[in-house]
Amino acid sequence: MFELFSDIYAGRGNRFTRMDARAKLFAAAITLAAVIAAPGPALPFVVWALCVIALLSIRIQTKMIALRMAPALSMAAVLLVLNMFMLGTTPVAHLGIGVWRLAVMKEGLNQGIQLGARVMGATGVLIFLGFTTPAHRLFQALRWYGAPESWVELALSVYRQIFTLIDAASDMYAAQRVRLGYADARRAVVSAGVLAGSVLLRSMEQAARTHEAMLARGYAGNTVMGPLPQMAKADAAVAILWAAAVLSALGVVLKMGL
Amino acid sequence: MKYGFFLLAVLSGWAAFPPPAHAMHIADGILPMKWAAFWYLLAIPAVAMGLRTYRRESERSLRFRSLAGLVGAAVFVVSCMPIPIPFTGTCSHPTGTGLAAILLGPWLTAAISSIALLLQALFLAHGGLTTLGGNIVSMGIVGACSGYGIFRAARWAGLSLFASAFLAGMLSDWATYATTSAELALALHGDGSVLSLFLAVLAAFVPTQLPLGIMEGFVTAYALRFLSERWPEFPFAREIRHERANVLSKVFLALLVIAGLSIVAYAKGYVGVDDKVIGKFAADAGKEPSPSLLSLEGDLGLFVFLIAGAVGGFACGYFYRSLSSKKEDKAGKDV
Repeated sequence: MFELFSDIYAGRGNRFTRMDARAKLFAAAITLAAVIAAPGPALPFVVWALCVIALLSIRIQTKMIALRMAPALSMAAVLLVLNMFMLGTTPVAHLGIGVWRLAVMKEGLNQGIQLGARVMGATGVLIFLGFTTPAHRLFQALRWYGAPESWVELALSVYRQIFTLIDAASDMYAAQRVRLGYADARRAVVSAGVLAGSVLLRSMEQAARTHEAMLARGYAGNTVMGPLPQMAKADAAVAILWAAAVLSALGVVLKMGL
Repeated sequence: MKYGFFLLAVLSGWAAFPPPAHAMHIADGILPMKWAAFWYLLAIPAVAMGLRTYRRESERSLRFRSLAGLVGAAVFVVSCMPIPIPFTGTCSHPTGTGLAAILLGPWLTAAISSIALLLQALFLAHGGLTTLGGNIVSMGIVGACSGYGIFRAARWAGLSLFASAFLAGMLSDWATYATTSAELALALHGDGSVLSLFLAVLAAFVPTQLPLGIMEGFVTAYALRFLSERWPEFPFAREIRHERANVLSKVFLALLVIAGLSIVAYAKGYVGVDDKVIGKFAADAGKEPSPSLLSLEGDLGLFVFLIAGAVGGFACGYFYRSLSSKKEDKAGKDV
């Protein structure tokens, strides 16, 4: 969980992690817009492939990429199944489940494939951003783009404490498991409730201690984030070129209907 | 064929959400541009209200800042906890928004949810950036408001803390999934019916989310009971802006009554599952409808229905005790 969630990969030094977070955010936003505006599966598949290649080139494990893509793909699979049986009027195949004979519809199948491609493309962009940008840089970039100060402050506060609490929750969960706290459904529910309560209680105690420590260090209500360095011209150029390339590709696929 | 897709939806939902099931959030890329923008526009005012609450309470007490951040982090962790689902053999996770709404109020929960959802999207690919607005609406607004409103209404009606928290946790979870289904149906129905796609998506969620909602109810209730025992002075019912909360719960109750009356009005023309579904399959199979083996018409039927409900309710209530009470052996020692 810890390894899957944390931004440890973004802490590595490589060409993508060194790139300015504002430039990456801009490029990602344009790419996401192009992916969901694409009329067919071609552009989203290309975007997905490029994101995976980029991640593999900076030595992110294939297993980790697959793990992060799994939830999105499971939802896309359900929607593909629903679409291909429910939408459209032109049957291309028939499937028998028990007494039911279900027809696979051409229109629904096409829409399902397009949807699946869009999910893959967009999730590819998302995991690229997550694997190459530390959370605090992302929040700083969001602040630079105009996100409210209080939201960014709250976000940084939430993010900072998540790891402490994951650690505490993991320890408590392990302790409950060895005491057979999850041996059956009833005990599992009670244990999960006690775990949730304990995590909340610990978080509140931690909040009190953190607050006192911050006051002792001169905290007066403002979280100091530190200034973002000036954006490198090369980063800005790469982001603009990428955005132009993606928008051109979108123009082509819109024209050709791909 | 017409009803086959419901079975298919259930089966696909069952098969496609392996443990741990992260079916809560709409994945990135699913919503078209106009719907993504629409849900963002709907989410922004609620998040802004949450931030206003955050700033106002922070001005009163600086401690509130770290408290809000830590409760937000705790909710994030709670929403990542795997809970076994006994009927499906899978694990899933609670939303945590019902619990957060009880602790911090619905609007601040919406703001916290926007942060938790962004972090989950970026570092777990759970949800997405283009679907962030839709996910905030389903989990952070509908989930939090329904959980909070139900909790307040249940407390107002005199239910215990445990029962109120159970209802809040369970119904906020189901409300979240219903909203997610509606968002998907509205965006993806194409030329088909919104209602039929909504029902199909809802049916796909049922195998995991129906028991999960009940589980979340119990987890919320046990967590709140644990907190109330260990920290009795904590303001569970959100003492901050108490009078506004009362108005909110009344508005929520009124909405519930209106929704209930609307369903009753709509259901007048409803044929019933026997004729609509079972009768359809029987007709397809060439079987003629036959009279019931035990025909109970009129008041007698209603009476037996009432007795069945009462017996079922008694059995549930009787055995419910075994969920919470400790077993004792003959010597009176806890086992």
